[in-house]
Amino acid sequence: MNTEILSLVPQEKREAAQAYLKTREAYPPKLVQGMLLVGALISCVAILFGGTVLFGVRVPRSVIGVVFTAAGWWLSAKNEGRADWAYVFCAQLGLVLGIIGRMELMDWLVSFSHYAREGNAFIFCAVAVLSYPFFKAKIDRLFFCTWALVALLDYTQNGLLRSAAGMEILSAVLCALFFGGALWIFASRRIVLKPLAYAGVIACGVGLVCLSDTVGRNLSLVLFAGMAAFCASRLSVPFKMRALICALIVVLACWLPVYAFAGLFACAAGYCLRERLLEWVGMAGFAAGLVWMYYDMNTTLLVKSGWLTLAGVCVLAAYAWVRRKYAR
Amino acid sequence: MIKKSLLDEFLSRGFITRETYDKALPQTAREPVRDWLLRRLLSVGAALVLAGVVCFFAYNWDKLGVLYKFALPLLGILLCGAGAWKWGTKSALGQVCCVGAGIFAGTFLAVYGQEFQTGAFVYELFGTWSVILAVLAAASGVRWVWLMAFYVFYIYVSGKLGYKEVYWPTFSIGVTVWAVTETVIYFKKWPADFRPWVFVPLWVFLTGYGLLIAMNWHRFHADPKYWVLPVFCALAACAGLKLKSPTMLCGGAFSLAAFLCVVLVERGVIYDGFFAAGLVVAVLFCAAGVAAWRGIRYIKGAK
Repeated sequence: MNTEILSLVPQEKREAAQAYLKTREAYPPKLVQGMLLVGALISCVAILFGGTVLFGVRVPRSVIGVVFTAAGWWLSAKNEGRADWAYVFCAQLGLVLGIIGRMELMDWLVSFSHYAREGNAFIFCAVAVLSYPFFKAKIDRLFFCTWALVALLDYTQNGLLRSAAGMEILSAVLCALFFGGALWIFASRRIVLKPLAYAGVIACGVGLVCLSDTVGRNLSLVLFAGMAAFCASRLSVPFKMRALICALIVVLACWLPVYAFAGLFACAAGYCLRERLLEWVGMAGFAAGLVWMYYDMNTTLLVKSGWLTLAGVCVLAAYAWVRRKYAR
Repeated sequence: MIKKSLLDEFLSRGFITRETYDKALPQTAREPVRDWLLRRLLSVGAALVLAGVVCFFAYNWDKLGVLYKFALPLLGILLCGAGAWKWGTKSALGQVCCVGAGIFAGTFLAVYGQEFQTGAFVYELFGTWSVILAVLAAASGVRWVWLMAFYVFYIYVSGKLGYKEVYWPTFSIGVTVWAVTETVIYFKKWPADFRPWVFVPLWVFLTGYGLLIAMNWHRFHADPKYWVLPVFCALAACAGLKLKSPTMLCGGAFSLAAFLCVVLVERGVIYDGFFAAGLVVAVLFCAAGVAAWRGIRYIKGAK
């Protein structure tokens, strides 16, 4: 496998690529990293609660935030890409310190705006944007980007507009924007922005669940169906197949609630773009959406059983058709 | 076959160009679209039909006669049995049918108890069910049915004895089943990746219980229960090294570190302020991580 991928690298970069592969193979397994992370987390909590009193005077939170953030950045940057357990531990310590430091800073900053929603959204977005280039750990970027995008959604849903319909429309548009942006990042192979893409998917899921009005839900369904049809039109399959897929999208959009549809869309997009994690997130979202749909149906068990069985039979009929049409 | 994550890393680090990446992408592993679609359509369709059938019978349950109530689970057992016979117990579908037959057997017992109001305790139902599952497992040789029999038997034991008396029986059963599983894996009747299904629940139970006991030295230090967790962790770590299982090795190391932390804090050895306690705990977990990593490197080398 290594020789296969190394053959793709030009001669002048091959040595660097080999060195990278060697380091990657020497990295501790995930279970071991988990234990080191527990150690790093407990160390940081101990330092935060026990070591922030100097000469009997409690250190201000802004100072703690700045010191922790700087120390976290320095430790992460110094130990990035090194495989020995000590470097891995220091890198994880830097990760946890950096997260705690920025959380302290954000909490200090939002206290100036008296915890108003617009202040929260602005500060969280600013911290996420400013720290993205400096803190390179994927989990770090995912954490702060998700927080920023969810704060932005919260502001639009509850703080920006007075009219409920206006709020719902803006939220629906934002959810579709987050999801569409994530798909664009995956499709354009902007690897550095992948944590932002996943943050967009998570924030979109949170936003869709919080939509309470039918206007917002229907609009988001239309937007997602439109995006799905656009993506289907870009597939390299015969025209007939593309038309069939678009027709299927319309049928599913009419039948499924928006969160189930979005989950299904994410699953299919994950498969097409070869993003396993997106596929799994989509499947989980689809399953959760179906369960939600079941509980949302305001009918008797008998009617629910009829709908479920009919849906199941249709899906199994599709299974039989695909199996027969594309038999080996 | 190139790993996509590795290809992504190479692109982000500038080792390859975007054109090279696009050319190499089709070489990364991906299930054929037909198989991918068929698998998902089958699972979603089957789940929807099953849910519909369950809802239908839940709605009509009170109106059904006794014969119908008994006929349904028996029909389920018959259909699953037919499916297992048709597809064979070696295939995935056959194994699903065997598990389904086991589930319907439990449903039959529940209906029997409900209809005839035998006065039996609920745990007795689980006891009978576990016997039926064991017979089914012996007949079919399907390891998942054995696993189900073990879990159902545990529910019977815990129901009968209550949470105060359940420790030693659970420990004995768990260790016995673990030993039997390892023996069967050793003789290559079952795959090695089945091991975590048996080890992990036992490990979770012993770790949870062991840490709760460890928080009370004065009451339990003379009780053998107190020392089960560290001995089990040492055993799991050694077994992990011998059987080349990173799960057992890391599980043993993690629980041992947690046990030591609880003991040291509870005994007052390191209760000298939050800062010192936290740092000692962190050192213990890191030491466990390093030890586990050394062990995994040894396993990889030995493999």
